[in-house]
Amino acid sequence: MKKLILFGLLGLGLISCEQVIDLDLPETPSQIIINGRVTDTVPVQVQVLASADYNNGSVPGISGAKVLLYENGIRVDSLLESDTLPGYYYGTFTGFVGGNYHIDVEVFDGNPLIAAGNWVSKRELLKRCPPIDSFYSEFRPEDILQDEGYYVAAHFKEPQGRGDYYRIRAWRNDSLQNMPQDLTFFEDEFSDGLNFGTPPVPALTIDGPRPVGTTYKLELGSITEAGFDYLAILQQQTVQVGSIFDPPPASIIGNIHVKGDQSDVALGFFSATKLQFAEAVIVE
Amino acid sequence: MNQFLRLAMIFFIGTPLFAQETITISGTISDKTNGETLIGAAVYDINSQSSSVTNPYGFYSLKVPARPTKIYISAFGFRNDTIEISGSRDRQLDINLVPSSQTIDEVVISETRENDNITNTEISVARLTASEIQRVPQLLGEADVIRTLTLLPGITTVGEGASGFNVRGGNTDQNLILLDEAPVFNSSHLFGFFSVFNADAIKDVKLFKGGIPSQYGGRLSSVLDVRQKEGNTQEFAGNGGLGLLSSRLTLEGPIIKDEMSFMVAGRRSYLDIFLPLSPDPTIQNTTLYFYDLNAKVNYKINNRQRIYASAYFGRDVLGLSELFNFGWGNVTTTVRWNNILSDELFLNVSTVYSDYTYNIGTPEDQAANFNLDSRIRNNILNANLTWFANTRHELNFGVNGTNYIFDPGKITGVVETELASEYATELAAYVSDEWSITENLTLLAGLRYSGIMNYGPRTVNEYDPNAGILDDTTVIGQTEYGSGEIVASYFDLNGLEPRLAMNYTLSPSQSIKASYNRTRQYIHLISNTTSATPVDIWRPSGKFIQPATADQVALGYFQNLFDNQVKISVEAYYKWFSNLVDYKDGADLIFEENIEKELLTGDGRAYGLELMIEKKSGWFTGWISYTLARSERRVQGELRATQINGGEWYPANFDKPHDLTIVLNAQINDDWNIGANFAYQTGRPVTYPDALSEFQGVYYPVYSNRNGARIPHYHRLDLSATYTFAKARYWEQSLSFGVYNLYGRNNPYSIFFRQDMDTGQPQAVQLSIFAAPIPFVTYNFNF
Repeated sequence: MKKLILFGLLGLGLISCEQVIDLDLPETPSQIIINGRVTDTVPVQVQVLASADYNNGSVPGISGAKVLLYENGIRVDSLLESDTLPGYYYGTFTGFVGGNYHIDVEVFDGNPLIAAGNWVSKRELLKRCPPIDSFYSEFRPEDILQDEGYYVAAHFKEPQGRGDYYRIRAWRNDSLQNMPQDLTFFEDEFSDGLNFGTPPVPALTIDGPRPVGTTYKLELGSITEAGFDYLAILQQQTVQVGSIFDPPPASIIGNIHVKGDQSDVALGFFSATKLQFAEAVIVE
Repeated sequence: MNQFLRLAMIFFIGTPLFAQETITISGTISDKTNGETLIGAAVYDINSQSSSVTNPYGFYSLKVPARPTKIYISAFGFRNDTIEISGSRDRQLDINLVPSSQTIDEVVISETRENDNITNTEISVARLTASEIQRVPQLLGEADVIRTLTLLPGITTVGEGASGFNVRGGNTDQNLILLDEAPVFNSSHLFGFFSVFNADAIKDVKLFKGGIPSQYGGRLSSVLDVRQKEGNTQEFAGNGGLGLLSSRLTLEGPIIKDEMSFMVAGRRSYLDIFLPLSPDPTIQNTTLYFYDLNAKVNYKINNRQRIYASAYFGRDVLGLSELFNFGWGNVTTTVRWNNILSDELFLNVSTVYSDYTYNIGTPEDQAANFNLDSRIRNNILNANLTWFANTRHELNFGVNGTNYIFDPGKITGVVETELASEYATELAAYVSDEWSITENLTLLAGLRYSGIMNYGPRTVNEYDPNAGILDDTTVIGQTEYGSGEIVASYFDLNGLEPRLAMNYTLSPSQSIKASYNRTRQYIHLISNTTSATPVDIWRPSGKFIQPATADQVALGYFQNLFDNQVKISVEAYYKWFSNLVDYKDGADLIFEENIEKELLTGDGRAYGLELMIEKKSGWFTGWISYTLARSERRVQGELRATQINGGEWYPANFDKPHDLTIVLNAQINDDWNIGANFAYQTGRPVTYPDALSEFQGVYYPVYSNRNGARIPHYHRLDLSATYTFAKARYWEQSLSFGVYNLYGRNNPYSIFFRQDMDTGQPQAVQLSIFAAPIPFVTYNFNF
């Protein structure tokens, strides 16, 4: 609902002109970025990275860190760095619904990008996520909301009880759709206990229109309210730009901080999520 | 407290009595051609040199020695008049002045009393008449009150097309915008490109940037007092125009000659008429227009009593095909009753209703239809008494009461939900005395007392007082307030608002003025976007939002040159704000019941120097205005999440240190009038990223230095020419054409950062609103 209102504002055609420019931006010291995810199916992964100059276009990994996963305060995994991707750490652990998880990351002296330090995440609760009942393709005629063509859409039943938050990711032809515009997440404020795909709640349309033969993989994951808020500000700061109604640039603060000092925050977010998957191919 | 005691003494004791026998001359000054009363016309006794100025209803009262004398009357845009009086008794003297035509062969070189700007206590006041606004080259030829105001010193906007305006470093919601005493909550059409005031229906526009008289209150930074025409009492008349954007028509005339008259004005834009020509089906089916209706009736009950009823109704409508509709608008009505109780007592009682609504919805036949309505209503009662006590004292006192009902949002349709309404009452009482202490020294001393109470029914969250932050995690309970039960009340000593202005006249063409003002604001626009949007809501002060306060001191030097033809003013001001509403990083303000969770409280400071050189009479008129100013904000919370910019001062979005405007107009001959504007401003602050970060493959900018950079300078030249056709018997017509942004300067509105849609590479993008010359042509007529 909130997004629809927002769309109302952004959809206004203003007599404006955009042009990409070259800017000299200040160089600042690197900051640590810690992103991670523990799920009930895919083993835990953590990325330890360093921020770069904005114009750099990518962020380097931080090697040689010690990365530990805790479940309800008890250490359950020690992650190993990838041989091929510096700063990418992988474990073997999968979580369960109801578990509380956090990570502990230590960077040692001698790292070229950042000074030594020890960071932890806040605890994340791994929440329930209902199964995807169906994921299918269909042909839709042109209407004002969409062009004519083939779309994929999913049905699932949102469980009773307010306070569920979800994130969706989709792979089209095995390629993860991962631009800021692709960030998709929602809460059950207006759909609590209802079926997506049964009026009044529409089916979740993933992409489209796309040609026959396009394959899709869909991931529906539960997230926490903190995760939802993080994605919301990430989306606001990356998508809601370029109009005269822009919100002010803001720092995107996640749930990572220096061990022992919650106010000394680092970049990034660690989430716990239960995943559901479905696949579909567009057919005539 | 001593200060207040002294003030009280001035008001209640210090009114000296004069032994000399005096008589009172009082009455109304009007435009002879149409009966419109004149605001700010000066009445001057040549013998005793005492003077008076007409109030917003055209009334004046002048005490003169009881002997024969000459009364000299002058008003800007009118021929001066002199009337001889015998001076034997009190007298009601209603005066009609003849307009001085703009044509060159009729230029009246002013005589003595064109120096009101030197002798009055008004400091930090900008005034425009409808004809001045109409002569300035304008975007798409729309004579626009607010755009014209921004050409004056100390008044800016965030950028082209931004909604509202900023006065001396104040936010857009800190302007009290009054249309015939009714507050207007959204002064913009088309999201900010045009203002809601139809210049044809407007008689007088006055903006107080400082030295705000005590009768006005409720906003921190300025008062924009717009008065609608009353309607021609002499004959039926009309005027109108056809422009590229809109057309308008105003009709006025007597209902009962000299007693009752009316004015109605309508304006509608028709951009949408051209939209079906677009090849894009979405644009073809788009609706986008605004309209305004102004109406006013006035009735002169007798020589002492007059009643006015006026209304404004304006709306913007945007519809994207069958997808959704979006509309917003103001409705205001005012009924005023003027009563001249005696030669020296003038009473005005008014009752005002103002209503701002917006609505977003989808057609009902859509599967997932919804409709959101938001509304703010207020009822106001004002009573004001002006007492022209004697030649040295003019007292003004009164009361205001405003009742607000805020309905921030109600959703109907497939899902039905509603944000709780909020109720508040704001009360104020004020007194002021304009005291001519000596011939050269005048003091306007005023005091206003105001407060607000926020009352139920309402359910309010309770937060952990030790947490230092209001959010979901710190809620410890809820309190229910019954209907009429006080949720929060602010009636305390902080509600005292001293208003002082002083004039020391060095010579008839030179004066120094100073002022000090405290203002309080009890309702707050909740908006964290660069430009406010029509869906931003207002919230009253309550349990979590404190009233905001501003203090301002200003010092000015005024000098007239060349027989008062050229007026120069230099003003310096310093202003400090407290309890300003600010927003947490990433605040989500849409449809939020407990808005306090998204808010922070901060301070502000603004200071500047304003220079104005103007020539308002003769064939060649115009002004040069230059402002050197800063406006900054600071939010120092205890926690990082309750700070902005690490608790350090940062420039406000509209902080533009240098602002230069040149406005020129030449009446070449009876047929041709040429106008030009040039504007130069420092680029406004924007935030550049310090670094690039990433979350699961999504790149995002890291910001830490709010508004630490600036966009490039802004400059623009506009030209216009108006050809007036030879006058037919009852019919006068003219054609205006011109170009906005003549040399097509690509002025940036903002610089923003995003990932390239194709490559994923982070990039900096400049957004411009009017990057090309925009021509216009407008046809105007009157009869």
